[in-house]
Amino acid sequence: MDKIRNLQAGTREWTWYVAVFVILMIVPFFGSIFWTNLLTEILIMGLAAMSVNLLLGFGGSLPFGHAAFFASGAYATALLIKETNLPFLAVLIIAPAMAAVVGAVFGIIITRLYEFYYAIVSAASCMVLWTLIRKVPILGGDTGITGVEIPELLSSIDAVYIFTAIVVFTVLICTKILLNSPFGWIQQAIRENPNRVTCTGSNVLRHRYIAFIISSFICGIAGMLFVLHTQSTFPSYAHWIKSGDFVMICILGGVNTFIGPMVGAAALIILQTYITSLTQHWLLFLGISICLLVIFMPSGIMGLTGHLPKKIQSFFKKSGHNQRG
Amino acid sequence: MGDTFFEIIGLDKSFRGLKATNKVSLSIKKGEVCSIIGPNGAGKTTLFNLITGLIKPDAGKIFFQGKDITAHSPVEIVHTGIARSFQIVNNFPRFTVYDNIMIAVLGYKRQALKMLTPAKSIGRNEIMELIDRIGLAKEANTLAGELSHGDQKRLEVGIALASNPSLLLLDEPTAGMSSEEKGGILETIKRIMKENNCTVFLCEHDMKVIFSISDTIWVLHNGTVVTSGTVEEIRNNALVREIYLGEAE
Ligand SMILES: Nc1ncnc2c1ncn2[C@@H]1O[C@H](COP(=O)(O)OP(=O)(O)OP(=O)(O)O)[C@@H](O)[C@H]1O
Ligand SMILES: [Mg+2]
Repeated sequence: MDKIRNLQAGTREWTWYVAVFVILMIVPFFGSIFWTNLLTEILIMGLAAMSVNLLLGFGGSLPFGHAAFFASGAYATALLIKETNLPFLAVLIIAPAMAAVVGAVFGIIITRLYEFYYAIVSAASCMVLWTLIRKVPILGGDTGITGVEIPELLSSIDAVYIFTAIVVFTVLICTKILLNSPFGWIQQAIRENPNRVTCTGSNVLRHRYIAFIISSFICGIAGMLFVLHTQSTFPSYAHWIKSGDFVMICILGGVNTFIGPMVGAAALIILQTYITSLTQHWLLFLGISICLLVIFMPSGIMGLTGHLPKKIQSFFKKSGHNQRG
Repeated sequence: MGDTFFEIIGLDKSFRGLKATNKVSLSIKKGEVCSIIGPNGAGKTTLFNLITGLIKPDAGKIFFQGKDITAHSPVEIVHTGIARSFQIVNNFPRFTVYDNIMIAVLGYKRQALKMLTPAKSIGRNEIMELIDRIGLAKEANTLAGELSHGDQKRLEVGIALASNPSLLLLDEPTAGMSSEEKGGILETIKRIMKENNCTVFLCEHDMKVIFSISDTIWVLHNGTVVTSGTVEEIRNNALVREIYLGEAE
């Protein structure tokens, strides 16, 4: 039986996060523009996938419509910058909040459902938004919104990257705190056995609804960051295939770990980039590689890390024993 | 009505024509151990599901401490002071014993929406104390799914107790246990009743268990209350022997 990993971050884990963060901060000074761009994208997709995993790995639901919230955050950012005189900081808060509002509306129905129905209705509501986006003139129809002007401070690739990394890490820390809180524990208990949670006096429906809104807010942040990165936004952001990408990233990285979605995003995007440059039939190879990854690593890339340290530990324990004996 | 601790009046529930609960009326006095017996399919679990709000009755009323709780949601019912254990083990198998109890304590304390404090910092002492009381102190860090059946039954009682109920419903707490385990859990239940000052309503198949612990016994058959009385009265009741003991042989 799998033990639910204790999410309480030990000092060692925090050391890891700080180290990775410092390394990421240094990249623009040594790496190429290519890598800076790639990392920006990985961080943003990783954040979106993490918002999905909050409901998937930690909530036991299958959200197949999170592109809706990614797109909501993106379109809100683009519109607010283009059409209003709001200060940039206000945009950074209002845009994800708009995604949360969309989440609050969709969530009313979706969070009442379970399993298959949950997945289907979330995908369907995502497609409703996709259709709307293409029909509403102010949202730019099929061509989307381009040429979104961002403040001078963030106009360089490096600056957007640094900003993204800071925002993503801040959200990561907040999510970690959330998962360790009573809210996070009840969320995981609902995944294990929703009826028992009800019978111990916590409101499951309300809990799932609030978790859904929080998740759409975080996904909205990812959408917002993506607009800062590309200065444009397209209807495809709201397509259910995008939702599928998020879910696939989670599965690839490992849904049972906190950091899995980030790792999955790195794996998928790097794989995508390299295979595209090698062959024209990249989609085929990408598909095959993902199939293989999922078959041979059912608990994702992060699933490997759980076993390795244990083996190493037991090795050292054994050898220590022998020495004493 | 106002003076009885717990009372059910004319409760009805059918499943596709099958009357699982048929005009059931019964009452429980504060501080007693009240038992319900009846053969398989008599409607004992259905009655517990009705009391805890998991299913809604077709007709009838449920009163607890003078309040009509018939229409209350399961969550509200827990907070008015009724908690239950399940016949079939119903816990969080991939959580440790400690975490199982913690989830219930968080629910009881209405902390489910707290987002900033670490869950593990809440109610540590009382959780450990409760684990000790149900006799699982050594297993606090064992996964619930890896406990023996008997220990899972204990955990079942522990999860219910974490809600600090004044009425504790136990659905076959000793089912599937060895006779030593049965003795152990009965002692635990008796001790808990005194310490927590709660009333116990339990259903059981094992007559020895029923006769050794109950103050009042109600007999259910095909969804209907057949008779009720003290241990002596039920032991000597010819009808009960026919329905229940007769079938068992
Ligand atoms: N949700 C349900 N849907 C349909 N029928 C049900 C449902 N729950 C219970 N029943 C039926 O109602 C009757 C009473 O069942 P119940 O589980 O209450 O009996 P019980 O006294 O607890 O029996 P046991 O001793 O086997 O636990 C049975 O015939 C059962 O099949
Ligand atoms: Mg039963």
